[in-house]
Amino acid sequence: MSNVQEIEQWRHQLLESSEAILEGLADEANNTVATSETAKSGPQANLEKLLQRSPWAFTTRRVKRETVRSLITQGEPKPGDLVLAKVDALGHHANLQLPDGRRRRLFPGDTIVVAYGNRYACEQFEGRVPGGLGPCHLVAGGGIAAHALSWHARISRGPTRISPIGLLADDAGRPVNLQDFALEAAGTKLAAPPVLAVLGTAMDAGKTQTAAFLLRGLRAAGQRVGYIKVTGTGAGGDTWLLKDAGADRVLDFTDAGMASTYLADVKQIEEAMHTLVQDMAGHGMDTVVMEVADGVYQRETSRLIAGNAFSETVNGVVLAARDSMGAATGVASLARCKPPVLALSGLLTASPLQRQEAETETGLVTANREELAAPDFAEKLLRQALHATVKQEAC
Amino acid sequence: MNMQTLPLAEMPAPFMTTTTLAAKHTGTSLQYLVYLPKNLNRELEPIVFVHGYTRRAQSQLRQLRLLSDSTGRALLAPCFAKSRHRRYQRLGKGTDGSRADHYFNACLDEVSLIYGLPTDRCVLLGYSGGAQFCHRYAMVHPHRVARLIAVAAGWYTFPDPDVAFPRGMATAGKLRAVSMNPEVFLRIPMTVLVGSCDRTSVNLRSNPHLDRQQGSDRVERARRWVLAMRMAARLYHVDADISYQEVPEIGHSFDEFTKAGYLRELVLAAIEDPGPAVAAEGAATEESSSNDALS
Repeated sequence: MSNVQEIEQWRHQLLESSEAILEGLADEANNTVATSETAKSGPQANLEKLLQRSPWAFTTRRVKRETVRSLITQGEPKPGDLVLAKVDALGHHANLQLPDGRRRRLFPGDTIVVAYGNRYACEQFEGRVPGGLGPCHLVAGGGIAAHALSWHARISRGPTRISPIGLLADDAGRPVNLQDFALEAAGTKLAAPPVLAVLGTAMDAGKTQTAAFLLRGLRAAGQRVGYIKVTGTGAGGDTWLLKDAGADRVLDFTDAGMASTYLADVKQIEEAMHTLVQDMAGHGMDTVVMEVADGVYQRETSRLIAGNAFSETVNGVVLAARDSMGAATGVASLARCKPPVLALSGLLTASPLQRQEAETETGLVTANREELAAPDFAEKLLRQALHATVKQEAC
Repeated sequence: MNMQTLPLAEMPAPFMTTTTLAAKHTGTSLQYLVYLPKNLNRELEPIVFVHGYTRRAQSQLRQLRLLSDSTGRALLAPCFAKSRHRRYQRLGKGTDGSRADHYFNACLDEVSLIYGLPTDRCVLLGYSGGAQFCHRYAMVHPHRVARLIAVAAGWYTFPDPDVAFPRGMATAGKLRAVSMNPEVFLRIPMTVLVGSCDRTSVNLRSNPHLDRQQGSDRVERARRWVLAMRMAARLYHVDADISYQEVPEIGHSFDEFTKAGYLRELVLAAIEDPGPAVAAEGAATEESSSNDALS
């Protein structure tokens, strides 16, 4: 075959004949898809019943359910959009956290209401909001839908698989988003209470435990103490623990309208932090314990703590670390951060030898959970933080 | 993986050569062939050809040189040695425990370093076992594939999350912690070629599960896979470009494909297709040899 036109004609015929072969085979398959697509019109008709029957995840707790009027079955979801989805197969997350704290067991075929969000969790999943409403994954028990890009090797079952039925929409046909139900940003700026931030070297370094016991110590010293978590992925575990620890008020970034903070603009996180701290001020908190998720190298955490908003909000830092070397590296990483590191805590405090190493290397005091919960110690940390702030302002 | 390379950057094009990637500690290696046409355009993604079960990379690459000359694209061909990479088609681990796709990535990175070629994305062309490797590689590393051309694959990974890899996308066992993203890999322009007479069972994997899912020969399997991929594209709302061409009077033979099947023209047409993506790819073979150039 030397003639270009002949080749082109031959190729054209080849394509046509090949497609004709597939056409016959495709009929049955197309019918199957048509059936499943027709089935999608069912939920529109029975939406109210379906939404009543479906468990709504922790992340959706601020949403006024009566605003949902319809389903959108095509389009590109955004972080925070609510989605009605069917559970296809169970993987790592076999339970869904409900707003009341109950872990609702999931079964294949269940329909659930969750929010789209990106997830960053070194010990679990990295997940991204997909570009469409195709099947994806439940990447957090608090109710986060995303496509799981990777996960920790110990997660042998992989992620739980879900198939979106549609985005929840309001009476104007707009997707219902967590941002629509966020706490309102304070119009007038109230005097912010002192804020002690708990940072960590990594996920599961002991930050939430540190925050809980530090909060107990401050409360024992007579303070009204609130807890906020400014970054992470929407899940109830940390906030419930802090409520149990006696916090006078507990809020996290989901209250500021974010399903998660991974890949969010740092300005949005700073605005959320401001909103949450102002809320604490408005509710008369004397002190706020603020947890920042993951390790100081994590994208959003590192950007947040490098910014002016963090320096202006936070008076002092307690760093949770798994071991002495992590603590030393963490302290070195935070050297440029204005709020001083006041103490070390976290998993390393379970080991007397790790504590010795960390104290020698950093010159900082270490405190385990019981020590943090002691009113004298907690109050001393707070005084140090306030003193450091006064000194910085004087400079 | 460490790479041991030869100082080939100054050699005049066209040439064919072999270099070796050596895995750290183990010495396991992956050889590959490079062909640079005289009219090499370093801006264009290279065509990477992957051989089949019989590992005739050298002779087949020789037959594909005209493809490289016609397009100005570099032509590369990794050689997965039978002794070291027995299960490369399934992205399996070699004797050193490293996965075939990781070796392949190291190969592309080395080519980029030595020859200054844009191997971040490539046109993948696989024949038979090579087509198996190529489509699975595209599903796992979609961002590195500009176009996929799979010729006469023996069997496929279907976009079915309920079926275990390599027949489906459930990777928990074999490709632990790998997450295939249909929304991304379905956007790769794909061309699936198979000879209409490729009904032989020679060198064809067969078992009840596989045959029930995919059919009993390469033609049936190619048809079903294309349909499944198009169905998945509808499910994920992806505007996919998956072309299927069943070439008449061709059996399971690379040489037939190159002589009577106009493989060069079909691959050229796929590469030049002004679809959503850029380039094309090919496959390696399982059968007898011929050094005839494409015509």
